[in-house]
Amino acid sequence: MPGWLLTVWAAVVAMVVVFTFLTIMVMFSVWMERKVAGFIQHRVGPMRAGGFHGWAQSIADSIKLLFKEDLILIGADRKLFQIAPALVMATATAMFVVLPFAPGWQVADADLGVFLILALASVTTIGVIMAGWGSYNKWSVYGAMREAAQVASYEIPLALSLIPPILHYGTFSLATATEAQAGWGGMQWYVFSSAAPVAWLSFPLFFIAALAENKRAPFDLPEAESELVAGFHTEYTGIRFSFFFLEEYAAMFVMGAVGAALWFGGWNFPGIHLLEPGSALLQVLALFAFVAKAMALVFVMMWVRWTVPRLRIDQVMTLGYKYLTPLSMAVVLIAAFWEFGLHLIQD
Amino acid sequence: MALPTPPREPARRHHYLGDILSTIHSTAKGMALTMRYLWRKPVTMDYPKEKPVIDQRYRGIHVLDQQLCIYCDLCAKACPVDCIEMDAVRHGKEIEWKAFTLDYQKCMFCELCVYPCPKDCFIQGTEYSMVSEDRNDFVHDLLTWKGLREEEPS
Amino acid sequence: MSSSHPAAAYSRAPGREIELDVATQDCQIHMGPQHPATHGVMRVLLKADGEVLSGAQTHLGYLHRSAEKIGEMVDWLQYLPYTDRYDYLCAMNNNLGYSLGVEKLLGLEAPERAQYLRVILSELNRIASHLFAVGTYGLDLGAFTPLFTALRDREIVLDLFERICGARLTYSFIRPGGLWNDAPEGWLEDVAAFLDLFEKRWHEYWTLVVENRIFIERTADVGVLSAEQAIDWGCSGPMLRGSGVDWDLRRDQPYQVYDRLEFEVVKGSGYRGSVGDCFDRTFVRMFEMTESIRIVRQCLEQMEPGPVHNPEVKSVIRPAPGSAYCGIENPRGELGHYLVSDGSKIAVRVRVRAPSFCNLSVAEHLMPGSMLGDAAAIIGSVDIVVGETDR
Repeated sequence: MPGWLLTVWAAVVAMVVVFTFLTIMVMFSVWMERKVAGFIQHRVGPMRAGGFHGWAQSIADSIKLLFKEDLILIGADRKLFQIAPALVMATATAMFVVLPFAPGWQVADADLGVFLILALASVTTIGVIMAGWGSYNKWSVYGAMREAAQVASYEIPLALSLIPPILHYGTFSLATATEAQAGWGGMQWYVFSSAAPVAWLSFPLFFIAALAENKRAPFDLPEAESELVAGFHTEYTGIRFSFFFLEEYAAMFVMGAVGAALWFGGWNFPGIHLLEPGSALLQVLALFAFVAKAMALVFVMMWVRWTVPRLRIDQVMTLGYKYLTPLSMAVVLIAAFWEFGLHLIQD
Repeated sequence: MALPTPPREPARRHHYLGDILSTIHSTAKGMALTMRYLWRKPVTMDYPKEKPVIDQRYRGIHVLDQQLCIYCDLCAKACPVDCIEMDAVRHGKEIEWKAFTLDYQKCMFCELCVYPCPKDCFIQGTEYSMVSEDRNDFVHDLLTWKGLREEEPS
Repeated sequence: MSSSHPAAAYSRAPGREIELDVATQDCQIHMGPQHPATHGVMRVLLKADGEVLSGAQTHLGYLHRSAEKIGEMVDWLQYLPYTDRYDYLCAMNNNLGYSLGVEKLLGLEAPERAQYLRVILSELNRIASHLFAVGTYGLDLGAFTPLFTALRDREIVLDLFERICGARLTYSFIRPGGLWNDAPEGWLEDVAAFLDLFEKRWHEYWTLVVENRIFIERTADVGVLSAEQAIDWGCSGPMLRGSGVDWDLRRDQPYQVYDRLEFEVVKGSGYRGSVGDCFDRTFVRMFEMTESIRIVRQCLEQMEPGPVHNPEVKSVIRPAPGSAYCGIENPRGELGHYLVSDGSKIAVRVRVRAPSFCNLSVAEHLMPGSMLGDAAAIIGSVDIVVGETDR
């Protein structure tokens, strides 16, 4: 086969694998969110679709969404309206390309792993703003403007809070950072390593900034249900709506995965040193460990959503600019001192 | 635990560090509470499979004890929305029943028809389920038998 | 914008004019009849300059059901089910207000056991109504869980009501002359058990809703209603007491057996912001629930066996010609019934003074100057029931 065809073929296979994984992960996340919400609210969530605790509810909902009527309002900007969900979905899927699922199991070992994820998260925002503006609806415009303000406020804390682990492991690549956390029988995670205090300081900042980037409560103003009906995606129906929905849970998983990879050891699990590298058992257990850690962080995001009320937009921006930005700058300084300055004192 | 009473002093206004700590503290307390809720037994029941136990005084669909009824029309007169209609012919002390209908499209389940009955023959029972695709099904005929007397089972 | 509002420094509302090169127009948005945060079908037309509101206008009437006109068509006793339906969250109180009005026209009173039971039912309904108010207020602000917790506790109260009268929401149980029935076996013990349970559960609402920092940020210093403004606009109930005014009809114009009961009138004191902000109104509602627990406990102790209906009040009531006004303390404020009789069995005029209507009228003036998110917070804190606003 000629070289270029091989590349194209590899890209197609990668796309199919990633998209399948993403779809299954999102369906599972939606089901988990509804069950978690149910049990927190003294009820049970879906129970009937598929029998055991309604596991097939997400599948049923997706099929239902496919059959819905596709409406575009007469005054809406057709091109923006139609491109927005596609843009949002494309960037969310692209973020999966640099996630380290298991040793060697990564779509692309880019040197700029985390940086790529940050960049793509910003492009997602453009899609949201297009959706809000393109719908012929003032409430959607409000959602879009709030999204723009919110994401702009939290870009800096998100990026700065990622710097401590990057400094410690000396690389942007998530796979390299995960491999470096394999010591101590697979437990030398960043949060247990020699720079543990810095890790515990930077992780909450990252988590809060990630919540804000993902439009999750308490920062879910762009789609604030009780004020704006559905914010920027009010006018979307059917498949187009399902793309926004998919993107939200995909982005949640990506942020959870980044948190897991950089702070909690990625695919490393206790006892990883006992298994033969390259063996099927190791790969499967590593994949399971990685996905479990990411889903644990996603669970915490859901737990927070069902507990706290929503912040008003000026409070969101105050939190971002006045609290998180100075704190994350301080944490970066502490991290820099910890990594490079400590030995100056010890000597 | 004593009954909570309103605090007398206004709470102190916080400043930068105090704001951060109080946010973390109150959010953590709220999250601990929701985590406890997560593990508690749900309070809902799986409706069509498990049905609730209905109290005896419940205002459900009406039940008429036709043997006791003396066709005095007090229940129909008491109804605020005039949903009860009855039609019968008196033959001396006996009553030849033609119809006793209650239109559930109008009924507001207020029980004002139950209290005036002098013979205590008209009550609201515990049946609540009334589903149909045809409007005429909602005009219930509460008679168990028509005519002069209940037919003897043969 | 009031200068104490958190975003006052950034406001471009009247008072802080900024030179702009471009001519702009205020955005007119409908918080339309169907909206998750308007507590029923009510339209609020908002004019906003970005996120800051510059005007608000409420449009009512979407739930008008001619309750007052129906009063001129049905008998005095037949009107009782209609009274349930204006403020469907506290139907016992509505029945009580109407029954007291009719009893005033007749010049008769209910027996003592009926009066104690009426107070117990009204206060239990006050707890249920305030639970719903606090729960849906959390929902308006984005906290989804407190609503379900509130509904879980309210379910116990509704089960108690189902056992005594057969209905869960529209009771028609408190009638002119007393009550239709006495409480069944074991009901009073179950009420006491509920009060003990609720006393502990109250702290869950305090933690999950009121003491939550984000809730405080959303409600403190928002929608500040001064005491003079509250009195001028005819506000009553938690709206009035939240602004620091010491007025409660149960203590100042006592009816039934309230003059024999000891309870405190809770006022807003600016615990977390200014006096009269949204937080204070929620604060008043939370502590009114504890006061209701006290009242019901005292009633349970003081109650004696006896009849529950005054036999002089017949089914077909023909009061002497005249008129009477009776105002009671609803969970939302003062519910007044003005009844005019000409001696026949049908009223000449049934006029209902709904507390939500008067409380809502001031909300229009609280909204300009605050932000869009505050519109939901302000309407939620007024605690309207559109069935009552429109009748």
